[in-house]
Amino acid sequence: MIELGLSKIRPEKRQGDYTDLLVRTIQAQAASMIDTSGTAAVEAAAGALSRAFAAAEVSGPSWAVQAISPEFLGQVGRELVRAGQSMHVIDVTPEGGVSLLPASDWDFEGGEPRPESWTVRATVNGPRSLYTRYLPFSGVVFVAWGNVQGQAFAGRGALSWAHHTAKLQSETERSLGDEASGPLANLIPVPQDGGDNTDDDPLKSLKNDLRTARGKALLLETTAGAWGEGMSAAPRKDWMGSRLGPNPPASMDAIMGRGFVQMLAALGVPPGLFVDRSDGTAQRESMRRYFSLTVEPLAGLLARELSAKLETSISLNFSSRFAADLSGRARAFQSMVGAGMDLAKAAALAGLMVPEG
Amino acid sequence: MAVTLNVETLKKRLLVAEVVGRGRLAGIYETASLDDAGWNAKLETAKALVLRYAPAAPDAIHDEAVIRTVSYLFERSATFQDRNQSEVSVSQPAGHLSALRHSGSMALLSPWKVRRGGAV
Repeated sequence: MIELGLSKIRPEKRQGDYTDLLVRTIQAQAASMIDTSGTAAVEAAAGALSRAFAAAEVSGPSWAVQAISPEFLGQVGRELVRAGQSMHVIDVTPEGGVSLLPASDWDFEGGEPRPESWTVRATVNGPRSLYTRYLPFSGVVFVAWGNVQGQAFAGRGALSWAHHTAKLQSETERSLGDEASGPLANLIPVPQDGGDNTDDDPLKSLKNDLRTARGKALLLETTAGAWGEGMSAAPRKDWMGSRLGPNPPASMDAIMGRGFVQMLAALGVPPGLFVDRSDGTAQRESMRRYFSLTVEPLAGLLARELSAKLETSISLNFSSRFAADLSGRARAFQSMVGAGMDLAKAAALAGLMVPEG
Repeated sequence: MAVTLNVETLKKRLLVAEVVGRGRLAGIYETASLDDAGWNAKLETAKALVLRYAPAAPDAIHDEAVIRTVSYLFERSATFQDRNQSEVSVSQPAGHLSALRHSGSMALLSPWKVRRGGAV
């Protein structure tokens, strides 16, 4: 059984510190850091990895499988994309089970470069309180997308590594969002003001007639004579409405489209998974690449960390995700058999054999 | 919401305009040599036009619009031309223009004109 002994460490309870948050915000602003995680590309990648992790088949002892829940796996996947790192505190429930509590904030302490000598000060959250726990590094599950050079305790994610692209995409979407939230109207110039909708408003009846026209023909006094005030007061075009609303330049749309693809690539997701021009074959190939180049390697890191910290053998398997690709595997099987390979071996290689036992 | 002018007050207002030399009425009023029935015909014509166009306008606006319209009618009357068409002699103004529009009365009344979109 694993040696936890964590419940002996008395948690420090404190209320959320507003001053800390404020100082951090000011520091972030001073460093010109902007939130680049609010784009669809980031959420597409975070959601994809989160759901892929949540669908993993966990192998290991039952108490560990219970702790490594789909919720835990999904959250790790999301945090890896969004924050570049993820930490969970290994906790023992009052019933004696193991649970993994998400940490929102943490610091590493300790002077030695060897991880086993590190101490972690991790913050875990209740709905109304924060708890800070001081733990040995063996008491937390910590995985990172990548690390700052030479600092194995400092995780750094794709958003941070590819921050130029992230900023471009974020600013483009923000700019388009600002544009879209501008005024939206159809303007109809008339020789006088638009009236105030009171009972004395001489245009009240006309407005009501226009509102209820619903496609009918309306006989209207022309505005070309400026309603008796002379040509100089007349609108340039008679009853010609003009639309006022978002009109972003085409270049912004192009930048957003390219930025979306580039962000997905930086976040380890083959763009073909989310680009609507891909056909079914390209989608399946994208899915295969996504699992083989992103999901399974990251899951391997997580499984290795879980195995080390929970002191048991844990593996995460995604083979069931490929059930939909039966036709592709059948073609691979056919090719291998056609080339003279043994039937059983070819079936095993193509993933068509059900494992025994 | 009505025209308060009668023939006498209309004459006075037009004479004031003549004294200050505002319009081209100088001479017209004298040469028109209308009797009160003629004056009343001009006044009723102008009142009908004004009240039909913007019945909800204030009295002062109605009066001013009527004065402008009557002035226009006088001016146009003075420029009537005699023409012989097919052996029939007729008198008609030089242009067939709207008295309400071209006297400036329409612009004066326009803020009170109730506008509609007549659905077909």
